[in-house]
Amino acid sequence: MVETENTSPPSVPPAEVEEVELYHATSFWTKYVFSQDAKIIAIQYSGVAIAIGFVALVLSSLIRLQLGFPEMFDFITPETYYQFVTMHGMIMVVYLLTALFLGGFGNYLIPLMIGARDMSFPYVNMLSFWIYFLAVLVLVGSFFVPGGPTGAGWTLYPPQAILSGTPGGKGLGIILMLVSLALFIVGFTMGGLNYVVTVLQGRTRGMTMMRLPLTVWGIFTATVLALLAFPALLVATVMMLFDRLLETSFFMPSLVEFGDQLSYGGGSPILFQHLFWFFGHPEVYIVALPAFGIVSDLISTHARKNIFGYRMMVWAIVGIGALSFIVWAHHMYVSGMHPYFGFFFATTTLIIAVPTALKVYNWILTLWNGNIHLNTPMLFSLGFIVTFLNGGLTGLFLGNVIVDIPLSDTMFVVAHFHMVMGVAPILVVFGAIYHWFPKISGRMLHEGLGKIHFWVTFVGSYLIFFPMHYIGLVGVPRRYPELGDAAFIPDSVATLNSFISLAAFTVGVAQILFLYNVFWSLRKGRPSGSNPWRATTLEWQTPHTPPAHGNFGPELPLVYRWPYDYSVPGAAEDFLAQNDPGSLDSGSST
Amino acid sequence: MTVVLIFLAVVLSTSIWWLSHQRLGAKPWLESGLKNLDHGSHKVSLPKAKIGLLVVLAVVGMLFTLLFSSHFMRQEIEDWRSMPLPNMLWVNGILLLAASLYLQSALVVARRQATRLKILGRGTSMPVSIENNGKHGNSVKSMLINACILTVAFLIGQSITWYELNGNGIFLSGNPSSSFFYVLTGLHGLHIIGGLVALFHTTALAGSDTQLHKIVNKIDLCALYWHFLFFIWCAMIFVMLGWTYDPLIELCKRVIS
Repeated sequence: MVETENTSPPSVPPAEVEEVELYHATSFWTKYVFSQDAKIIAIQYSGVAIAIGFVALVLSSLIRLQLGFPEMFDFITPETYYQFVTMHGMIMVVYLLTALFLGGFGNYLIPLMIGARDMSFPYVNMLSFWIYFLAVLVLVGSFFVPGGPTGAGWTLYPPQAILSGTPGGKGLGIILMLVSLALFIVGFTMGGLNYVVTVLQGRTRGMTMMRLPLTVWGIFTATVLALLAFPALLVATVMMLFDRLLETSFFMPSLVEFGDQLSYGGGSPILFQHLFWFFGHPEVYIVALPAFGIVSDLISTHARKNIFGYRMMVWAIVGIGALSFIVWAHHMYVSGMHPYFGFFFATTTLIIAVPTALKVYNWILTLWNGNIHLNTPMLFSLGFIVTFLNGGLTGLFLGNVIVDIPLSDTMFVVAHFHMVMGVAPILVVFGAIYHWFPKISGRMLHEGLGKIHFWVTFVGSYLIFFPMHYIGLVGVPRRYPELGDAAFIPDSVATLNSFISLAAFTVGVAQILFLYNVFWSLRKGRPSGSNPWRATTLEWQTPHTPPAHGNFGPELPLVYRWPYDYSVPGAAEDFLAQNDPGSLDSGSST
Repeated sequence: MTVVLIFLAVVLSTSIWWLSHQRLGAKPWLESGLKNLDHGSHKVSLPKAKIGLLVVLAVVGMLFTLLFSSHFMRQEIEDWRSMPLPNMLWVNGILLLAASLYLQSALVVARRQATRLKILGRGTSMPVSIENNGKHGNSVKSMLINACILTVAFLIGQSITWYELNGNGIFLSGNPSSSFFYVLTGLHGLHIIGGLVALFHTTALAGSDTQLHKIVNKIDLCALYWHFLFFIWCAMIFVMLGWTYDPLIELCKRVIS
């Protein structure tokens, strides 16, 4: 880490913003461990999320070992395979992506970008991280209990999730999973409360909602979605725990297991599906909306061009957020629903394509004639746009009932959601880390290593997931540890599976390069200065890099303009920062 | 899922209504400077703790409406047998309502006191104990204590209800209607206990030298939370009575005919 003084002349007029009481830590423990500073909490969140994400990455390699080279590794049994799949999915979606985008980027960027000293409720924010950490510990603990973690699939569908035929179903595995999810939700709600209230209340003077960077819009809307969607998962979790531990029958129908009539009766597995997907679909946008926001800021900064259609972008974020609550049953087309019901959900699903496509057009029009710097953050952003588009296109297939039914539960679905919800957001995560690392550490990440990391990850991901669409189209089902000698599966599938696995290992190893880059750059990276990207948003205008406690020195910045004044004719540099009164501080229009 | 969608529609339309006052049609790329930005809708005018509480209430509301939706969906399966609701519940409801009303009157009195001090020019920033301000102060404190007692009585009443039901052979793992009863009332009770921690804190502060406006704000938050939980409690009883409660159906029929 390197400390840098901001050398630009102070253009901040005297504070006219109400000051807040700031908590000042006195000891090492309160400063770095039980810290109430959003920036430290952000780093804690990100560290834990990335660490557990690497566990999930290893699990995915184990899955690929089995799929690519079946019967070669004795330690992978069908049971362990299901456990790998379940934990991989759950960790990636909830404990990595949600926690990293909202807990990590949200905590770091919201106060800095809106000109606040810290979150509105710092103590609750600290609790949020520690409860999340506890949730992760419980989750990791489930690897070490007798019977191992649950193998119910990340959707945890009853009745199989809590029956003895499923790994962890009768042991502690499923219980720990459910407890961990409940903890995660409680912890997240505490954090989410902070993000929402801080955006509503903590903005500095001049920072209207329509001057917020799109990153903040994305994180803010995603948080609102998460606050409203996670209770559905909590309800499902609690009810399933009751079914498992206290033999209620919320979700469990009457059934016979290994010749024994179980005491359950009458419960509805479909009810669980409704609850799960009522959370599960907004979850896609909880991950996607921050990614949308971040990408907008990244391409605007690195193409030196104002974002095209800012208002449309904001409306699209809000529109997608609202629509995401009325599409959940498109995950349940094969559950035997009424055809009109399927028609309704197919329609709403396809309607979401409108604001989403609008965003893609706007990104492309932002890039059009821009001064595109093909540095690592820009490469990752471009990678995201292409990947999201690809994933979105297969979404049109699966959104239609008639096409979805034959494709349901095939590898096509796996390929689709990995493109749209796995690769795409992860590319943004990397782009964002390359972009904001200089602010967090004061040093640049190594550009050459970054580019190698990008190309291997990007091309590798396509080598993994493009062939997987084909495998799905020929009818290979998902969730099968081995395919055996099914007549409808051509030999090419086995070859392709081995190929995909090799590509996956390569991409996996490339992530070590990224870790190496981070640790190397922390010590030896080129000092970045306070604003290496010549960006306009407030986090780059702090007096110290990394930002000190309280973010902005003695006086809070005043905001005079929107965050996308790039390539401004006549400006000293080619941009005007948000807190730069410039020559246009009279309030008149240009 | 109709119930939850209705609740969600209310929450989302409130949010969108608020957003629509945020000059979403502005063209920020054409506007610079600080002028014209400070009046009206720059920030939410409520204190941040109150916004925080409103967000929490939206989340709690989601939680309960999701359970109500699940209740209705589960109810349609043929093994459902409605359970008789114990009469004790009505007593409990009155206790919770009384606690809620006490908090509301404490709020009204404390607000009046704060305004009076302001008019007298003493401001609200100087330390003033509600306790030491004549009969108003005492009545606020005692109202808060009453609210605490009534709420604890409510919780005891709920426990007695559980105990009675258990005695009558209506268990958690029995018919789904009783499972829902225990889960709903249990979750509601947990929320009440959470609220009680804040209420105890506020009551303790009301006795010591504290800035008056802080106490008023805290009482305001407690009152809002209690009203909301009372509302949830009523909705809960309504859902559990459902359309199987004969006297209710009879009444409706009579009204319609």
